Amino acid sequence: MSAASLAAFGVWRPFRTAAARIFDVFGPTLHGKETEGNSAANSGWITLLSLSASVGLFLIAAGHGAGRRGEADAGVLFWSGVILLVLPIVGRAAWPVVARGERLFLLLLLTESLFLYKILYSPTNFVQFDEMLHWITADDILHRHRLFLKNSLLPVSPSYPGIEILTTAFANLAGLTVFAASNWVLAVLRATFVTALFLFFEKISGSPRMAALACLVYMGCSNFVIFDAMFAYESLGIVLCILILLAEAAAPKKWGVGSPAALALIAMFLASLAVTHHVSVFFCAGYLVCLLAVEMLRRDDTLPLRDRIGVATGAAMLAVILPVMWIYARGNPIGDYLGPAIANGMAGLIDKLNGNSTIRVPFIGADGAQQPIGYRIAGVASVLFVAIGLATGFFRSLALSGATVGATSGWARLRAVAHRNWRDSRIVLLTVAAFGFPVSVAFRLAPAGWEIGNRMGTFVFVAVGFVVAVSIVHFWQVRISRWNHLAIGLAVGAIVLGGITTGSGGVAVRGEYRAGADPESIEPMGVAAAVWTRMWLGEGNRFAADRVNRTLLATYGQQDVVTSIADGVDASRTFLSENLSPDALYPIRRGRIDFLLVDLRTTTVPAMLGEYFEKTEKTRGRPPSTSSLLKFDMSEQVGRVFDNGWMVIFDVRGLHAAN
Amino acid sequence: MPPTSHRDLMAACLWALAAVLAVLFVDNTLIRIIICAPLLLFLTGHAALRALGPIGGSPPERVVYAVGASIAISLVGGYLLNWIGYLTPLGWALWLAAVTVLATVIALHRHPNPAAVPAPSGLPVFRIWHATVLGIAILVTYGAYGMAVRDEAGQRQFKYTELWMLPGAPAAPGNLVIGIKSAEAEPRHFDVEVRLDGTTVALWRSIAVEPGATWTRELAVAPREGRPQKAEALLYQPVGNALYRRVSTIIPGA
Repeated sequence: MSAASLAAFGVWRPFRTAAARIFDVFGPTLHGKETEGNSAANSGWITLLSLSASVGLFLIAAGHGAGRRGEADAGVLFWSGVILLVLPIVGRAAWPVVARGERLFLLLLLTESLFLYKILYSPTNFVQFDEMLHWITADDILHRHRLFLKNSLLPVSPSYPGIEILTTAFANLAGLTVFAASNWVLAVLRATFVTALFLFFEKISGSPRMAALACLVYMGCSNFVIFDAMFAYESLGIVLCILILLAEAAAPKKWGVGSPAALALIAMFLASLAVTHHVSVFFCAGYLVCLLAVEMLRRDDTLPLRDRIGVATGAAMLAVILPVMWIYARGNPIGDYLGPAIANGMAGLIDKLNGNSTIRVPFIGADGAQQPIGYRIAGVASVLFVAIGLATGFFRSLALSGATVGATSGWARLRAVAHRNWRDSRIVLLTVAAFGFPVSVAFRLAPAGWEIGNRMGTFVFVAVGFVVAVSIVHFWQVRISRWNHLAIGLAVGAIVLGGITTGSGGVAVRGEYRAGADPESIEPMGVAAAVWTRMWLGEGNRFAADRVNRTLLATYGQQDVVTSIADGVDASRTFLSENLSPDALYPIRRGRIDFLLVDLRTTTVPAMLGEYFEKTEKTRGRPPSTSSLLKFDMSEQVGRVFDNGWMVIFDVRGLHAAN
Repeated sequence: MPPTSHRDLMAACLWALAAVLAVLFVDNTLIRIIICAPLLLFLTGHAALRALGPIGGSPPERVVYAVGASIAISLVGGYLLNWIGYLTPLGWALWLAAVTVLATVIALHRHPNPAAVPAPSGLPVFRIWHATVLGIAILVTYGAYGMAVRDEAGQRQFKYTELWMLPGAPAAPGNLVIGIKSAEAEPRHFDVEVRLDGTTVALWRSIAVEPGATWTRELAVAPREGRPQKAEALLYQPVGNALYRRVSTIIPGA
């Protein structure tokens, strides 16, 4: 029986119907029309949402307080505050008919509230690991009035001092501490970032609604709330990155009047980015080079190629040349820093794809502790909603970029794209770049690739936000009804909440001290010990300690800490050996270590982050024995100069010359 | 579009002058924040953009470009001030003021008749109850921050006493410094014994140390000829004469 006969009997009809339904969901058909509010912003909503955000922040602060006191209701207070902070604003900002100004205000309100959310965790001092590293560089600039001084904990930081220069400039002008000045600067950077991101999405989509939705989805990136709001170079790098994307998108489409000024602005931002953050400038260069390539592929009979790509060519060339010039001017400080991380990450991913390595189980810490069920649900729901948005938005986003002349349906637009006839190369590039999301998830599942996957998220979510916003506007929210509003608001809210829970790494609520847990390990006794070293031993002594106490010694103590990354000395051998063997003495002599700080609290539990001293330590974060840490008591050449019951400082200068 | 005036640039120059004066003569942090933050993070970039030409369409776009340009100017300033060894408050104020004035001069020369900036549209109308609720929201937020600061200050999971002993300066190696600092919850009494090669050389009984207080003593001992010695300080709790802390130091040989 032929196909024609089957068709005559209607055998193909169910298949055709099913295929049509599938294509309707995942295909390029752009349902519905843009719905924009052209009225004035609603001051009633603005007022009430500001109040709900403030009450949410109050509950969050109360949750942290309860957590510090070890009370059982800390989580309930905290998470009710987070939900009250996030969901109402997301619900209103994602509403189909809202004035442009109101959407932008609500995005700013949510961004700054989430920045306050981060501050409430530690309101008077830095506690995040990366912040401590950059504090060292900033402190040197502020008090020694010099750039490029050595930073043992992050040797690459002095070569990229953008955020430190900006912060210390403000600290100098206003008479503030680095912590206070950084919070003022970061508050401005966060507002600039989300405004620029909104304007960028609005430029390429022509829709404030889609721009707001894309920004909200971006906030689901696990780095948005904590990592990119830290006092660290990426927090400034990502702002400059988005400003470059915006300035490029806003530049005149044809080389002529205004183009040199636009290129000068891009050059100014690119030069700033080149000296601010290595990873951000590499991603930015990648974007601009790819954009130039896509634009050169585009068929456009209305403008000669050289007129179309004038600004894009200049931007791409500068994006490649300026960072390379800076790297060579500074003696290539990033080769040793980024190279091993990228190589290990790629090798880890390939191993995993070949089935040669274990899969990193999400939501389980290096100490084996599982994150609470709520964290896991929020994280999985966030990834699920993003994946659904990408699946239903990918072809629609491509179709949106298709030239509209003579092509009204999504399929016709998609055919236009296939024939290199698209109206905006940025949309094509972002749509393709959204594939970075599954790649970043794959990296996260490889133990060695987790960091690459995490860092990718910051940049990949620009594309993800756009594609998911297209899917919402042109598929999920075509029919505007109350239930539809509620469902979309909850889904986008879940994406943002997932970003918050994933970004907090399972320790969102401030709690009591935990060993080997970076921010949760920083408490007054450790700080006091570091301050003691500065007061009684003086600054600049060569110190070795565990990961957390190293940061305290380098900042509060102003000591010269010994690390494998800066000195090539793995001091974990000294601490973890059971006796004073040559292997234990080698780091002391090679690294000219003067003092050892031993924290006996590390002997009680496994390190939450999988390491107490170095990533390469032989015990892999298992608690060291008390006898190994206190073995120096046995030596007649070692003084035990400080003891507070938990922390002991040994003077090992007598071991330098001993045989 | 009607040409605009250059009042914004004049205001920026005056603001820059005020920042220089504030850095020179004002110690109040709040006043210096109010004056210096806009200059550092907006005004220099705004003046530079005006000098560059008509850039940016909507007011938010101009604002973010101005912030970005201000950042760029600050980074250039950082490297320049480092080069001339002037990374100081006055160095920064002079740099930002100089850039603002220079950009203003260029803007006035290159663009004497700039295009008018479109006024923001769709601004909300605020009534008294809106302002009241917004005021309450600000107070609640401030209260949240205050509560977080209070809770952080009150978190003292570990109650402890620090004990230390250090050798004196290289010129006087026989001088030992012994110290106690209390971070206990209540006043405590301690006995301190210092031993040299197992022999007690000093003993202080019932030292009262309040929470937060520090007790220190200097002790002179005669360094041994040739070989270094190990001195030990033992901290006892008088109740039960229990050893509480133990520290030691090496005294170099004479």
